[in-house]
Amino acid sequence: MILSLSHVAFAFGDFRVLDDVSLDVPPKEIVGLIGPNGAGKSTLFAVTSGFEKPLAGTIMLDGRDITHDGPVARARAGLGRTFQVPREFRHLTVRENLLAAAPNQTGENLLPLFLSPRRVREEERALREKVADLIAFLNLTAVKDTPSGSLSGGQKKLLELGRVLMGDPKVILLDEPFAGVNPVLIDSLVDRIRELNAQGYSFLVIEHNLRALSDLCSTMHVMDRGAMIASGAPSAVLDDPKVQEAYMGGVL
Amino acid sequence: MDFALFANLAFNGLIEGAVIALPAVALTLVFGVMGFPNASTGDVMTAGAYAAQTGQIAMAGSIVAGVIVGSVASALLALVFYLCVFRFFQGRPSMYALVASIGLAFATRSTLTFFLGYDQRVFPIPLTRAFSFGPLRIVPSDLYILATSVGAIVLVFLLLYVTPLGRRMRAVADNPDLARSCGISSHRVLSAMWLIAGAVTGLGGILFGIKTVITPLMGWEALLPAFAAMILGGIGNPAGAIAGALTIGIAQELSTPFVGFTYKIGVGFAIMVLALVLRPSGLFNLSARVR
Repeated sequence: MILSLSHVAFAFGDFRVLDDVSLDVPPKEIVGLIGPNGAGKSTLFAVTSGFEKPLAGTIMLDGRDITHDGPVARARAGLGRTFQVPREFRHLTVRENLLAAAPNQTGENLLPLFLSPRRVREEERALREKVADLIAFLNLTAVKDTPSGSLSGGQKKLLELGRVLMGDPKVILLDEPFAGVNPVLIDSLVDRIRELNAQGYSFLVIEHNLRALSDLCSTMHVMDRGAMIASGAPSAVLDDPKVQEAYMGGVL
Repeated sequence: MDFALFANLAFNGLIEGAVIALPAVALTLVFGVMGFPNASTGDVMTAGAYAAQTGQIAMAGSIVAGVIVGSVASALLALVFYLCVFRFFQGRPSMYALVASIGLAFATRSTLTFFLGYDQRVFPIPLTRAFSFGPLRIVPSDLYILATSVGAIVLVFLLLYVTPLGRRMRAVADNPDLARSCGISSHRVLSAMWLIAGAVTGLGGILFGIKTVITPLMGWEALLPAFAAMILGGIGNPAGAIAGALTIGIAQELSTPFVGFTYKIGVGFAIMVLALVLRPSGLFNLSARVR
């Protein structure tokens, strides 16, 4: 498994938000995670990416226990994530956002910046090429020098995907990638995710757009009130009466 | 009161503004990234000036060596302040860091006066004759001060806007949580930021000492106009802080025929209060900013 959560529990004070949640993301697969609002999906992402500490359970990334690592170490270990409300370095341009997200830059330290300027310049050139390719891949060429704070919601989702890709992730966690995105851009986002999956990237995707998600993923998990209530192939999961009960009060 | 007088006052104000611009840039960098007004900035200036003067005498009177010694010393002092104190106040109310920075300011000043006394000191540089340029009477050392300040500011801007390090500093300033989820170690980036802010602050103190004299209170007194310049320029905006410093420097000098030398510092404050009332986000809210 590329990402494996087992028996994860988490609480805000006395309020149990996650209760014995287990979930696996196999290599090169897209795994979906659905559930009504307040089910604990985004909290599961926060615990997985290291922003919240679990009360119990273990989190393994590519065979390595990362349960006790902080967010910086997890990101460096290959865990990339996006946010439900897209986040960006809003005063930086689209290009600068992507450049800033690249790991292991020699020029990010004061001394090497002055002591090995040639190496910094060569890395920078390679990095700029990579970023230019990524910007073309994400159809963001027209806004590449725009401060990212002024992008549309859909463009910000694309930029988030790009920022995560810059970190060479082993697994990518997408938190509602299609929310607030117009239908044309959703198709484009789905295409990008499929293409990346074909290249070997693994995904765990939270999404309320069930049609787009069930097209995309091979396995779907359903959470309700902090617990995992169903897992399996998308069509089987969506037909499960328990899931329909949790999601729509029985009418799906 | 004729044109020549005002032209000379304005030129002198420009030089003073260029000196104040250095601590103002340091203040705005720290405020933009760490979120608190660093009151120890003034006394790091003083420490830089004393270190430079001591270094200059030790290095056979070379002012260039003195400037390097002073800037490095103040850079290290600022880094120590970050590592030992300010680091622990991140994510807490900014009042904690502000109070701690006032404490560090007093501690720095007391340490300096304990070892060096209260006497005024001067940089042992040869006096040069002023030359005329139109209505202006210009002392060559003022031109060196101006050139050094401009050079330092250009260097800071190149660091911030051209290098990978600067990009990461601006990223951390922009959204620290997102920076962490990108694997950016804010600790390393912030250490570099404090070194840069400290060096620039110390250089400001050195230039101030060359222009006037070195006293234990010089930095504390310079802190107030630097603070006004930062606010005038919009917090977290280095270009704005420079514009604010020049505005305040020139306005203070031009006001001396009317309010007298003693009260010119009040003019800087009047401008800051007006700016806070009329445009709290700063007069020079340009697009180029760290935050």
